[in-house]
Amino acid sequence: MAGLLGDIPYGTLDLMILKTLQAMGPLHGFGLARQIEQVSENLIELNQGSVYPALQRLQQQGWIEAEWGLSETNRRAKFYSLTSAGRKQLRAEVESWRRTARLVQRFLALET
Amino acid sequence: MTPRLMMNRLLDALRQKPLDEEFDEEIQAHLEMAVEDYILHGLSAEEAEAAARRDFGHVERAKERHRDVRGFAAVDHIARHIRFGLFSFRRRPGLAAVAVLTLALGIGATSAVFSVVNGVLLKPLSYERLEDLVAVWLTAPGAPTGSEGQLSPGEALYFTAREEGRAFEEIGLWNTHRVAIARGPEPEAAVAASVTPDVFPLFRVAASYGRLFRDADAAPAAAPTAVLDYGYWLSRFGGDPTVVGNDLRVDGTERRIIGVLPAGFSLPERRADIYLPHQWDPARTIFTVSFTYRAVARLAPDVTLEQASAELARLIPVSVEQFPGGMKLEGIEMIELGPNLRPLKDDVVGDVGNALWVLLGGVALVFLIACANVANLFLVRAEERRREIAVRSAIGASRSQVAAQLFAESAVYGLTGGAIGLLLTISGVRLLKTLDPGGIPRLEEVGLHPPVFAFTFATSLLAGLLFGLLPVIRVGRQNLATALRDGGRTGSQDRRRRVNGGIIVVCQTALVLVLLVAAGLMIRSFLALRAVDVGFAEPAELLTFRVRIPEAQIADPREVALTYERISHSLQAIPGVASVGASSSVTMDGANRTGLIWIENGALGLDELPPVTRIKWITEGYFETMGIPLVVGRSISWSDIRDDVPVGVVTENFARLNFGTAAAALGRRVTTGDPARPAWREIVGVVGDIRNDGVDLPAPPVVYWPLTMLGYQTSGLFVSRSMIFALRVESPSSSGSEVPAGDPFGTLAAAQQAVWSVNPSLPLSDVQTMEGLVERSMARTSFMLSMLLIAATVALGLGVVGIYGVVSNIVSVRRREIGIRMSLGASPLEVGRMILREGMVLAGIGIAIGLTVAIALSRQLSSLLYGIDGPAHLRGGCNSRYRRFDGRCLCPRSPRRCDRSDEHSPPRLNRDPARMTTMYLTPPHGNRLRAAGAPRTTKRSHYRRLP
Repeated sequence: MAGLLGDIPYGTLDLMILKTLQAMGPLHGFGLARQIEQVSENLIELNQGSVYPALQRLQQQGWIEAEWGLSETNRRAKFYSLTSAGRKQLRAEVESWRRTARLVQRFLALET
Repeated sequence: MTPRLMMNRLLDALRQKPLDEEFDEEIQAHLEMAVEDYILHGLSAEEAEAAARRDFGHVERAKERHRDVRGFAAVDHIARHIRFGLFSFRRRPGLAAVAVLTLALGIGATSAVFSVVNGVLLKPLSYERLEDLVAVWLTAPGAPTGSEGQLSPGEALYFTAREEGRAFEEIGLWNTHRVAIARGPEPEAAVAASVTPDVFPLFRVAASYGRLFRDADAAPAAAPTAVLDYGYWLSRFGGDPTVVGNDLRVDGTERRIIGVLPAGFSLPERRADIYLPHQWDPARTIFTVSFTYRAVARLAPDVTLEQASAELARLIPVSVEQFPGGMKLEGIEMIELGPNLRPLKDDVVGDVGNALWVLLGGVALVFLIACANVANLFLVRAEERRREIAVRSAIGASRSQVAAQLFAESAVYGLTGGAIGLLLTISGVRLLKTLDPGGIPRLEEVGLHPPVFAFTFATSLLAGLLFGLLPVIRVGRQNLATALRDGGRTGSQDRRRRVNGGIIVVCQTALVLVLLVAAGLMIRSFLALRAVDVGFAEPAELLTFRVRIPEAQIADPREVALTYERISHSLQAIPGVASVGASSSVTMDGANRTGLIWIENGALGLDELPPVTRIKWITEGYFETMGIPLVVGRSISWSDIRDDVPVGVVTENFARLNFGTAAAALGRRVTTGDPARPAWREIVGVVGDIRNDGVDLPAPPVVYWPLTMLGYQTSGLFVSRSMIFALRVESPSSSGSEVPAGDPFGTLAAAQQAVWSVNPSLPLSDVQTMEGLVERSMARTSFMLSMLLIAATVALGLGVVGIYGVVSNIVSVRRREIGIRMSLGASPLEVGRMILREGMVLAGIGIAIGLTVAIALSRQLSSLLYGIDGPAHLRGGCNSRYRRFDGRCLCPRSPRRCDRSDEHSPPRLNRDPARMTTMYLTPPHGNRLRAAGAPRTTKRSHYRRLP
């Protein structure tokens, strides 16, 4: 799976998408991909095409929804936004990541 | 997967196409926005376009993954593979047609036989809780040899088991017989089942109109009643419910119709038109054992077959004591009378099961041969497509993907073949039901039921898997680099291909051989049956029909005998009828009356139990009409019958068994009935033996009595009230001698008139020719024979075509090698020999394997064979010649192919047939490739010496 997502750690793309949508409000695929690239400051190499399968998956889970709209350049584009289920899922995932991070942090602290 | 995800996925999967279009638009928008963005950042249009595409990654891959997420990836892939498989249909329609038709043949034949197996063996009898139903029979291992036929419980045991038994919930007895039903001007014959009142509750059946029998209806003094079969009610009473409550004259007795059975109900094995209650009087019941009734019982909950058996064994002596007058206790002990319970299903299906499994095995072989053929076709095609597959792998298809695609293609072929095969199955089953080969119980249950569809589907998939396997294995081993190089075929690959081809040849040869051997054994068996002397002459000229005279019509036995005599004379007067005779049962009609025969001053005393012997009551002219030869003495005449002369006639084997020779029997006296009051009868004649129970069964001893007898059973005069008249019909111009016999059925109308001119209320029933009876007796063998012959013929055809395909394929692979050989000096003849030899080696291995398997399997066949011992017959080795011509017809074509090898233009091979035979005879060893200039080996001269 890691191979499919480029160098994005497994399972984190969903979290990134949900968090970005929460922070920025409704976004189209290109905006979302660009935003993730900017936030990650090119730490990861994102195939922009790979956000779409992820978006589709999140949609099927009912965490985001999509709507056709007009972009800033008046182009027809699909805009994705968080649903309330998505917000709940995001909170759960953030909490779980924090726990994981804390756990890993503690083990890394052993070395010093 | 959560339910919601499941549902959303399903919804997405259902609208793939609009979603695809939508996603295209989305990507388009994405790329355009990215380009605009780059242009804003100062890139040129081309640079921006390239950068946007680079950022996005592989567009098609994104689409593909998007699609995977949306639907169910596996389903989607399969659909794509199937589309591809269908595409390959269009690319090679000829190959596809051959493959599909071959498969259809194999699958259709297998499914057709399976539908029979399913209907007869696997589908349960349609009774509620069938597993609790047991057929109740009795055995008497201690009875003297010569007793045959099945013993069943009699009335006394029925009453005892009903009153005192705890192991059975119900026990029911019935017997079927013919009755005359008077409605309208002419009497009709119908099949009646006389049942005890427990029979219907036993089978858990309720009336569709009215009611069924109650215990009160079975009381001796109860008013006579009847219940109608649903089908009979529909056809004869127009399905009129108001018929319930009406009266119906059955055998001269007015019976009240009290109900109609539901549609589809039938007693095991035999459908009856009308059901009558047995009205037995316990006070007059004496018999513990019967030869007449069928008994079925339903086991009480938690009672095993063994427990029920034990209880019945305990009840037998109880019944003898409670109902005195029949057998004595000592007699029961002497013959070791005991119960014999069998699950009802086993009892009904019997040994037909074996025959059907053999058949299923036979068509399974045909199926395998068909698969092997198609496997070879696919192997050739996979070879042709090596480059295509290599290209595919080069651009990123994994091995499993390639394999999946190949499998999907073969599955498409398999399923298409299966679909056409299903059509074959439908027509095959229809044909089978019209032919009704006889001897197959429950044939009406055969049909296209869900298990048959499942079976067809499963065999289709299995076929796809089987013939898809070889190409997949080959592709898996394929070396990408060599495959991509043009013409880059390595020796090791060729060898593998030849090995694969060789395996197919060996398998097919072996499979075909097994089938041919089975068919050959059946042919031998059939011929042996045909050669049997059945004991009577020219069955095609014999017309038989039954005339019953019920007690309600003519009560006086003397008058009954006179009526039969008058009918006989009036039949005799019909033009074309050479002679007329009647018997209570004709050969092979299955109606067996048996009795105990004591011999005056014989080996056994009157207090001992003699063998159970077939008895028949006959009239004057019976032996003459049937063509049964009179060995010594005289026959029975009408005057014997009129004057109650105490005489009898026995068969030759009865005479030999008891008196040593036929002549010694004359003048000896025998008796039957009650040994306490013996009514001795003198043996006045000995006649030839007859195969009474069927062509394939030994001739039993028979004792013939005159139509009427004094002192038998009842104190008064006994008369057989159901007689079968036999008419020998000869063509009017019999003086010409070479003229074939007239059509016996042509005289039927005249015969009917002749009977009615004597008594207009007597119906004719069971009209048939003796030839029909003989044929029915051989029906199972001839059915098995024709089925196996068809299977073997199809297998041989498929096998020859398949082996030819494989061999020619091998030859074409070796064109280059053959070219080299020829340029090094090998003559076309030598090359031809080499190829023939290899073909013969393969065929030889196949024959060896096939014969071994056939010998092992023929033990299975043994019970179906007559007059030959399968395995021993085979070890004689005479059967391998069946196969040899096969090797001959596949090989001679192959050398011609190598002639066409384009590297050289060597002289054409001489195709003189005599030479071909010579080649065929060459021993399968030696003669390896000879290098140019090398001295000729002595082996060469070895071949020269051959004729």
